[in-house]
Amino acid sequence: MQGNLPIDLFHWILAFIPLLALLILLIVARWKASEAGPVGMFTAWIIALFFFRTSFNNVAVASAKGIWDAIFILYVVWPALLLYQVTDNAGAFDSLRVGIRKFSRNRLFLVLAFGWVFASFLQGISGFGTPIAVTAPLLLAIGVKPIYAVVVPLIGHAWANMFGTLAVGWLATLQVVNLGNPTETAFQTAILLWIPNIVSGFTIAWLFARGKGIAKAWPMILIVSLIHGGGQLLMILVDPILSTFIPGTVALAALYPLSRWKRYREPGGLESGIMSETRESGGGEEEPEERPVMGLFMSLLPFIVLAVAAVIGSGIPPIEQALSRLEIGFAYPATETGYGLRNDPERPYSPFGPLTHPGTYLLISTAVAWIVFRAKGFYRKTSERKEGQKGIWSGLVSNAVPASISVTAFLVMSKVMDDSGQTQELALGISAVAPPLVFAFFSNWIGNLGAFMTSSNTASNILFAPLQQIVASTEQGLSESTMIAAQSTGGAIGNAIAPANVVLGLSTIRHLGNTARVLRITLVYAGLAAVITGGVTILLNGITFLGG
Amino acid sequence: MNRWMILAFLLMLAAFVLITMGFAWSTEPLWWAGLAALALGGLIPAVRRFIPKHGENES
Repeated sequence: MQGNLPIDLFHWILAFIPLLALLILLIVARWKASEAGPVGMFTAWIIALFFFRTSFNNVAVASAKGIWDAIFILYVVWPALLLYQVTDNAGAFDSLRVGIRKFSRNRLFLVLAFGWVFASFLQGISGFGTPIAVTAPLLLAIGVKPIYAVVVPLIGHAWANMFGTLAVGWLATLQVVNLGNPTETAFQTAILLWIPNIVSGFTIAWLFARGKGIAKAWPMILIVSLIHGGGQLLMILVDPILSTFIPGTVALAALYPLSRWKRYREPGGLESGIMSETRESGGGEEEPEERPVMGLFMSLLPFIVLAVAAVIGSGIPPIEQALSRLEIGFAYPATETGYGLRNDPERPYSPFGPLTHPGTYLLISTAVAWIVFRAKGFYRKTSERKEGQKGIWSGLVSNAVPASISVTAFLVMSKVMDDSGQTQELALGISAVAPPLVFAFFSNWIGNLGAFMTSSNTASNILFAPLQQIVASTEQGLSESTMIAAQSTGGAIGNAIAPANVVLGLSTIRHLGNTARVLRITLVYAGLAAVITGGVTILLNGITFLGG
Repeated sequence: MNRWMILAFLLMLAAFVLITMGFAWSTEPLWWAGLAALALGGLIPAVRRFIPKHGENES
C-alpha cells in the first residue's frame, strides 16, 4: 500500500498544504465553507498531480469516490433539513419550547439533556451527523444562540462515535487490522473514550456559565458520565455492538429522575452567554406566552418516530439483516501512483444501504410528522400567526445547496489526499520522527486528523488504524491495543471539529457562514480532550507493558 | 437561493455520474467531462466570492 512514498519534510509539508489552506480560509480569512471547500479540493488535486505522481485518471477515480462518500452524508443533510422545515412550519419548535418548561425550567439541565444526553443517544443508534442535525434545532428552540446550538451537540455526541451507530467504527476497524487481542483493545478504547465524554459534559457546563455552570452541573455530569463511560466499559465485555446504545438509552431514562431533583427542576438563576436571553427567570412572574399550537408530546412526535424507526431498523438484528440486503454501489478500477501506491479495485466501492441509512429514518419521521401536522391543521394555524414564513421547499433548497457543495468538496479533497498518498505521508511523517512515547501521545491526534478530514470515526480508522498497528509492531515499547484505542478515541474527538459536521449543523438551523466561529470553540474542546487522551495513552501503554 | 450555487451543485452531481459511467464503460472522454464538471462546479462558489452579489442567503 505504501509503495515508495518518500517520507521527508518537503513532501510532508506539501501534504499538509490542503488542510492548512482549508483551516486558514475557514478560520482566519472567514470564507464560507462552500467557498473554502472547493479551494481545498483544488489544492489537493494540484499537489497530487504535480508532487505525488498521481495521474488525472487516478484523480478522477478518487474524486468520484469522494462524491459517493459525500452522498452518504447528504442523505442525512437533506432529510434532516426537510424535517426541520416540516416541524418548524407547523409551529412544533415553539410548542416544544413552551412544553418543555413544564418538564424542567432549568436551562443548564435542558442544554445538557438535549446537547449531550439526547445527542449521545441518537449517535448510539443512527450517527452520520443525525445527532447534530436533530438536536441543533431543538437547542435553538429552547433559546440557545445559533452558534452554540451547533457547538453543544458537536461536543456532546463526539465520544459516542466509535461504538455508536451500533459499533460501525469498531466493526470497520476489525476489517482493516488483524488484532492480537480484540477484547483488550476494545476495553482500552472504552477507557480512553470516557475522557472526551466527561470533558464534553464539563465543557458544555463551562460554556453555559463558566465556573458557576460547573458548580451547578457537576453532580449531573458525574452521574451521566458514569452511565455513559462506565456503562460502555461494562458493555464492551458483553457486546461491543450495543456498548454505546444501551448506556445512551439508560442515560436518557435517567433524565427523568434528575429533572425531579429541585437542583435541576427549578431555574438556576445563572447568567449564560450561550442563551439568547442572558438572564434566567428566577421562577417568579413570567411574561405571558402565546398558547402553543400543539402540546409537548405532539411537538416531540417527529423525534419519537425517528428513534422508534432507528431502533427497529438498526437495532433488531433480523430486521436489520433483511433491510440491509438492498445495497447500491458502483465499481471503480484499481489505481497506482508513480510512487507505487496502489489502491485496489472496488466492486462496488462503499455500498450504500438506503433502508438502514439514518436518512431513511429521517424521511419516515418527516412524512409521519407532515401527515399528522397537516391533518391537525397546525400549518394553517401557524401561518396565520407568523407572517412571511418561508415555504418548506424554498427553505430546504436555500440551506441544503451551499451545505452540499462544501460537504462534497471536503470529501473529494479527503479521498484525493488518501488515494494519492498525501494522507499516508502525513501519518508516516509523524511516526518517522516521533520516539515511542511521543508517538503514543500523538497517536490520538492522527485519529483526530482523519476524522477532521472525513467527518467519520469509521473512515479515520480505515485510513489510519493499519498505520498505527504497523508503528506499534515496529517501534519498541508501543502496545498495539493502546495505539488502536488512541486512534479510535482521536477519531471520535475529531468529529467535533470536522468542517462537514459543522456545516451540517449550521445548515439545519439556517445559519451557514458561521463555520469559523463554531470551529474556534470546538477546536479548544478537541485540543483539551486530545491532550488528556495523549497523557492517559502514555499511562495505559506503560501499564500494558508492565502487565504484559 | 442563488441559481449559480444550484448550478454548481448540479455540476458536482453530474460529475459523479459522468466519471462513474466513464470508468464503467471505459470511455475516457466521459470521465474527463466529469472531471471538468467537478472543476467548474468547484470554481463557481470560489469565483462568486469576488463578484458583487445581491440577496445572498448564506450569511
